[in-house]
Amino acid sequence: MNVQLDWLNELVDLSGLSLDEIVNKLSLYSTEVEGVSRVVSGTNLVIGHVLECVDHPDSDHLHVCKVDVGSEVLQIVCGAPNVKAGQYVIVALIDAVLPGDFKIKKSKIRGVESFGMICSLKEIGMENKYIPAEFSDGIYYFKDEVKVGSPALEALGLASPVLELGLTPNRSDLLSMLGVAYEASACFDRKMKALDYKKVDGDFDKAINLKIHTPNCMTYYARRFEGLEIKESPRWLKTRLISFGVRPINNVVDITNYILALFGQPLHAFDSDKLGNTIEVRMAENGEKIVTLDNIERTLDENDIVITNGKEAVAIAGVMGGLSTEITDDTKNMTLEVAEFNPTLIRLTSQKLNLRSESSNRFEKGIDSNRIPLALEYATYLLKELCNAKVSSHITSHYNNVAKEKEIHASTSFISKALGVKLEAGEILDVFKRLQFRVELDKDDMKVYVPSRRLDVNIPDDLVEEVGRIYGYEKLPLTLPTGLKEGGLTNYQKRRKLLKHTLVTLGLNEVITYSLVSHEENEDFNLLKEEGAKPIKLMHPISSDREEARMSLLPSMINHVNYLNNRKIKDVRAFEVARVYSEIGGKYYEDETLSIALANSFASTLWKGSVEKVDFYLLKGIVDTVFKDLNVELTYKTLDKESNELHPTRTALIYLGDKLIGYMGAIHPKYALKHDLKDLYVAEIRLADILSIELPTVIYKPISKVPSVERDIALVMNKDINASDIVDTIKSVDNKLLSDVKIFDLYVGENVKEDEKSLAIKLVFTSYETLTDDVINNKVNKILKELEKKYQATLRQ
Amino acid sequence: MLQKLMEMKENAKEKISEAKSIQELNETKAMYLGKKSPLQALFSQMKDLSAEGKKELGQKINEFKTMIEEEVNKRLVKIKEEEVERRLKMEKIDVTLPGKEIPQGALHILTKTIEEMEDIFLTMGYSVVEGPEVEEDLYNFEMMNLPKNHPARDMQDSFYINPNNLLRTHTSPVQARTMLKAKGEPIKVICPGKVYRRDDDDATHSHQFMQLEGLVVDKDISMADLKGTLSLLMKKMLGENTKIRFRPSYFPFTEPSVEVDVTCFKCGGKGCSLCKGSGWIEVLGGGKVHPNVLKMAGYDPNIYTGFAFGIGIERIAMLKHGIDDIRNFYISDPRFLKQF
Repeated sequence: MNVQLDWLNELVDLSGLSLDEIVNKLSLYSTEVEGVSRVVSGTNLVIGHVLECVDHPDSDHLHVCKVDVGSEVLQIVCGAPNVKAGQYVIVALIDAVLPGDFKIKKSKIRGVESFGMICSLKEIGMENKYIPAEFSDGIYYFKDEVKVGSPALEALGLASPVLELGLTPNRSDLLSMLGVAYEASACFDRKMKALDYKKVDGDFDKAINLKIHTPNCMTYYARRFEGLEIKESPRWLKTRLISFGVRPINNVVDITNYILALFGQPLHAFDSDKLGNTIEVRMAENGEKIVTLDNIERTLDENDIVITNGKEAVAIAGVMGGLSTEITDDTKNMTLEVAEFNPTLIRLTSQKLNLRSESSNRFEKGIDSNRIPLALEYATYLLKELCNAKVSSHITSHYNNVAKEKEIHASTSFISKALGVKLEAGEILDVFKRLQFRVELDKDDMKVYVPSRRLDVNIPDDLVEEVGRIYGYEKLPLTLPTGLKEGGLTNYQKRRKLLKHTLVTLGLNEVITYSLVSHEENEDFNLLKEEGAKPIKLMHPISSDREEARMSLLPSMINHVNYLNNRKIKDVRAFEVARVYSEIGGKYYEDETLSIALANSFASTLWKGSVEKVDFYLLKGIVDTVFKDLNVELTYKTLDKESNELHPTRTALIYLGDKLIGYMGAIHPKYALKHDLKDLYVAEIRLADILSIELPTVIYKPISKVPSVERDIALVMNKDINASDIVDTIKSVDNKLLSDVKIFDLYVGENVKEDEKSLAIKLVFTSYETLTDDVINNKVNKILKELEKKYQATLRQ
Repeated sequence: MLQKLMEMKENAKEKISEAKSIQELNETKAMYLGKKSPLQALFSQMKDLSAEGKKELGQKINEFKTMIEEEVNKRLVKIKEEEVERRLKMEKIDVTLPGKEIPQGALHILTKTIEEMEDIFLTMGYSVVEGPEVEEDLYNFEMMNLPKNHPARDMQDSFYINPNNLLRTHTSPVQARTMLKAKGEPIKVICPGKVYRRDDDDATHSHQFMQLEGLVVDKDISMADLKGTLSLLMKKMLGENTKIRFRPSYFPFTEPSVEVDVTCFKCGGKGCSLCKGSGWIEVLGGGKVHPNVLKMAGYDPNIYTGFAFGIGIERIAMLKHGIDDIRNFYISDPRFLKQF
């Protein structure tokens, strides 16, 4: 909502208040002032009288003018085609500054000195849409009497600053100058001024045959006008509409827009000769058609309200008029509609037809139906004054019920408690007086009568807001809730935090990527996909890149790696903890998941020639460490499923107990080729089970005073036997003395058969008593026997 | 013979002191005390001496032996010291060369910002609760006092997946879920998480961003409590001198509703380019929980009241660190993230 300050001042006395004060106080006590603008601007602009205008001796389009600017007569070179002697024009004097920081200096144009500039409206900042056609290609000149040498912007009526109010959707009352005036009156504790209009007597008496067939038309007033003189509006009216943000058209249209701006009440004008004398309001029929003012045929349905002439639709109520009854320059007789329609239906209709206007905006937010008769009176007065209209004394009207004041009960103590500050009844009454809310006080209790213009104030809590803001939120003390509650992170949240921090400690960078991906991306990395899981698709995605909620974190991670590679960053150490989403049988699932990507080198100290290249075992080491930190024992199995994205023999499935919760491995060479990836290892692990584990309190075990005993064994076995099976078997033999099993060498090649490999294993035995050779040899032999039995693994000779 | 021994004694001292290495020293020692040394010759001649003479010579030889051993030991210590000195010279390194690279990771700045806020609220007895991102219209809108056809739904253009489910547009639905679960008991929670709006991405808009919701429900919770809580939060987040102010606003789920500004931390409130000359920067919205919201979630608004607020994590991080483009957060370039 744009509010011209001079206009506001005509409705409420703001004299003596500075612009800054007005802007700041409105923002703090009422609604945000998003900006202050001026329709036109510039300094050192005066009205000049062109005394003489001759062609430039050395140019075919320039003119040399002698211009009286009051204090002196200046020679000014002007290139406008429409400059003529006798005109009263806008002159930018030497040192004037025009919008865009354009400074006027003394100059010589093709040999002729020029002491200023005659301005067009564009040059002083007016938007093209507001510039009348006759001045669009040249300078502006005044048609009415003006004083030479006086400030030009004031004479244009456009000097006053315009406040741009950012309104919240509840404050429909501020969509009118009058509403803003009430608000300013309360905020600044200033008096309202009386509206400047006279009640007009009728010139003839003609009723309209009005029938309302739907309760969605709550109020309908109509009045006939005859013998209209349609012409340009006077400047005061045009400038007010421009500052409000509406382009002036002609006096009739301008008057309807002026009433909309002043009262927030949309009007609609029909050409009576095209409309006839019947108005009926009803719901449209499914498939009913109407050609609107913009010459487009619209198809309506039963949720649209239409105005008809008894036979066919002549307007879409509250949204747009029909072409068949349009006011044109030839219109002589007019029927004016002032009405109120169901806000929700207006909103749905204007949304559906994509026709949003100042009118529909007000109807859908709700108007003050009490203002309807007044708006019609005021419009009548202006139509008589500015269009020389003859007025019917008959006002045809229909209304269900007149909006009344709302009665709300509240108490001083309720309002004080809600705000958290002890207020006296007098302080609260003062606020309501400023707001012009009537109050009946009965000890602590008050009955507050809220005027019908304030559709947003309905419950006692709304009164708390009114008192809070006008009393001043800045006066509220700073207190804290006093009730005690135990707080803290849950076990799950603590473990997730630990997980993230451990990953960072291990050198990984956390990334956060978008949850929405393309359908193609969502087909990749589906090893963990549950039976029957489907992607969650958006009904109206912004683009096909973001049409589904992701089912794996890795496609986003691959994009991240690509992003880095494209910027010549080859080393990647990244992780993300985020949810993946799926639909199974109509239910939605969100699974917190960890993804990791490692590429190229993990760490390098180049001058020492040391480079740690990433590989499967580095990734596994990180995963192991992180989950050891969380006290979780994971098991790894060879990939036994088809995957287009993962290396068939360098990928491990990760299990928690019997449950598959993740995988890690190298990217499939084909996928790498397609996505331009190199040396990339990734992991994806579901976190819900891992993070939900509640760890028992650890009970201390004394440390053995006897040193551990180590035995190294080298075993030869079939190549395909998993190291983890060997280690598990060793551990299964003894769970008392054997404290650790470490693989310290893997060998294939000379002296080992082609289908075999050699594993060197360190066995660590720990006890609280000294271990004799016999005991240990006995254990080792048992282990060897078991390995031979299970895997035909033998001691390497 | 004694004469000879005396000569050898003089000679030996010099020779031993000339030995340059342990090996040389051992050779010198052997020269005087070894099997082929002149001393052995003296021993062999001893049998011809009288008992008296034997005794005397024996004594002298022992003295000589002791002297040699002492000298050798002295020299040995010296040689070892010299060797250490030499080695120290050899072991010289350039301590200004860079150290071995230990990979260093970083938490995402959004995570850090959330953790910082969580820590502040945890000390005040708040719990952290989370809710689904694929949310029901019921919780996202209806229980937040935004019935179907409510005009304010225009403000929040949403990603629906069907008429009843959508990606949550704010963390507020967690309020409703928390209240239903708490079944009328007092509540003190914060709810961080991802939210989604149907916006085109640019420097200041993102179709995905993070919010932190706060909710306190108890008896006699006031606007002053909200002001005090947010003032404390902002002081801890942005500096002890930070002040806040409330401006009236509108959210369907709070009444009264306020926008909260903080004093510009760049200029301290004097007015600068960051705060567009006003000295204040808008950081979040909040208010007292609307009685309809309380009622729908099973609380009697005549007994219980509450406050709620919602903070844009990106906004706080952007303001605090002078980040000018919200897309940076989701590009997650390590060169960006390692700055914090």
